[in-house]
Amino acid sequence: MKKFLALAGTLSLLGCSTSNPGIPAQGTYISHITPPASYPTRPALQKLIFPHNSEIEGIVVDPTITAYMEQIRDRLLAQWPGVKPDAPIFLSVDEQFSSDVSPAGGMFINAGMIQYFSDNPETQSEDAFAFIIAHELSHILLGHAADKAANQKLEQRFSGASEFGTMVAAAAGGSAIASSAKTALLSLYGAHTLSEYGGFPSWSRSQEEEADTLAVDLMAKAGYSVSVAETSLDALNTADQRDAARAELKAKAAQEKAQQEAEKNQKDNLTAAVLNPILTPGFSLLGSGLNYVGKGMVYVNLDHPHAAERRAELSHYIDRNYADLIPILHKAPFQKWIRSQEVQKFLHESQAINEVADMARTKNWQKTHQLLAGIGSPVRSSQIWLYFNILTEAGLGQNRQAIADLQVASQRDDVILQTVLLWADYLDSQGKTDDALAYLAQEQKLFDDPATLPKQIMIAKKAKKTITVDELVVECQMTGIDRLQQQCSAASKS
Amino acid sequence: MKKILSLGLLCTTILLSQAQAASTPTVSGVFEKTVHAFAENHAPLGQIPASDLLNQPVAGIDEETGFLKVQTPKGLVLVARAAVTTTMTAAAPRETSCSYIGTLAASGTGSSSGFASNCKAGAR
Repeated sequence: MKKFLALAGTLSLLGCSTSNPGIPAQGTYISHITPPASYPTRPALQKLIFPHNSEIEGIVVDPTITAYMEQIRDRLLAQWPGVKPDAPIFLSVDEQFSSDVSPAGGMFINAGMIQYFSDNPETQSEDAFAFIIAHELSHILLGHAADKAANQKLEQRFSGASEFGTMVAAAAGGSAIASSAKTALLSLYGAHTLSEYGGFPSWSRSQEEEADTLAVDLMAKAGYSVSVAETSLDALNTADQRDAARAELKAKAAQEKAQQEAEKNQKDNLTAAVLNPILTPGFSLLGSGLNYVGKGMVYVNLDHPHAAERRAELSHYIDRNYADLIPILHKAPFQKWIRSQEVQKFLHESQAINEVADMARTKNWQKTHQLLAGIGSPVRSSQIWLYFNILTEAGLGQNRQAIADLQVASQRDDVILQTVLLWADYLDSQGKTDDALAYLAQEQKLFDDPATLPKQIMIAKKAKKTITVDELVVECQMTGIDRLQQQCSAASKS
Repeated sequence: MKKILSLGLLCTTILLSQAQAASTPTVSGVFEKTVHAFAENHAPLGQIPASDLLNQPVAGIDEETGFLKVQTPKGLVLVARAAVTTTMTAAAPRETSCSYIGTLAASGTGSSSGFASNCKAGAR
């Protein structure tokens, strides 16, 4: 009973963010949805694009390319009966066949997704591509991204508050504190119960199906042909099948794992090896949390709803609701766009910067310098280009230029987390401890993510700012994020 | 000599037919007992029995609509791709090397469900 009450209480705190009844057995999905009264206001760029800026790829901004996608978005959005969110579109040099949405409502289209349509002329219609835009837009319209972000933070607060309360109780004793500790323990129990029963689910499967379904509704209302909506799901299905076949080759898988481990070890040491010489002794980037994954992983993981199942669900829905329609495909505008110089240039440059990343593993800085020089706008003005350019300059001994470029990159609103940590380390290495701490605190607020706390603790500890260290450690504990807590703990003892 | 040539031609024809049959995609499944069908000029034909489509060859794709051209015993019809499953295989996306550096986001707040899974999952 207590378990149930704890679960019920916590669920009531969670609330219900969308009035989404789920996909109906009869009729269209869109006709059953009550749109929310409002969407969160568009935050500053740094929060809008998070977590893409916590990865090295960051974003690429090129209105000459995204303007066409925005036209498609607006056409779809016009069919939505409720308030229209901003849903800005950004590009990513990521080679994966995927697209994404940030918790704050930004849409991200990978180079790998655009590349697929470029490679396969038979897929080239605005209708097929509109499904991608409609799918991501639907995640925003249905509040999925915001839900996930809110739930994760709530769960962290539960766990963090409980652990902190228990910690205080253990240290101080006394009936009043013990009572708080009990409350904290109950909350912790509640949170764990909730996880156990799916109170904080990833929702990925139902979210994907809902987004697929609403996407089709928006497409149909906008006059697009839903008959090609499944083009991208078919491609995913082929990739799934390919991956499944490969998964059977155990020997190969074992080899790939070994390769990953080797590359991970190699990459963990890369940045430090390159950049340490430009900084003063005592400065190390080893603690900056670089986390290389390495090549050779299976293309599409099986943790997303299998494409075949998604396709079957969607086919059934389309067949049920739109089988009597036979609209003409919109081919010409898409073909003009996908074959345009701007799009092809972006795809070419995305490949090139990925080659730079591969080459950086070998520390062949002459070669990365050569490759980087050949990359033009828009990728040249992105954070990933700046990052590898800084590494290259440092690797070639051009320290002054590397630091100047690092400073420029660190002040931009599309800055990536790696660059933030590098700049803070540099400031610290120059004895500018207060500047480093202020910069990290500011960036933590802008990213709305506590990833920089271990670095702040490390710098404060080195500067013997005991009170600051204590405050930061408490702040870190309150996040309730195990991995981060461990990093903070290690930093405070460093 | 003529007999030998004729026999050779027959064998070639049979082999070609077999190869063609093996490579021609067919309708492998349906979702409902009836399927909306259209004529080649896109005129609606109403609903036809699913059995008319099952195992029938897919003769191609209608360029204007993207609908499947299915050769049935009663003639060529157009059906929506969503209305049936076929033995056709879509082109796969390019293989990638995946990413080199995982997210540094402490909260682990990933973006919402991406269109496909992220092969950087190990870092998230």
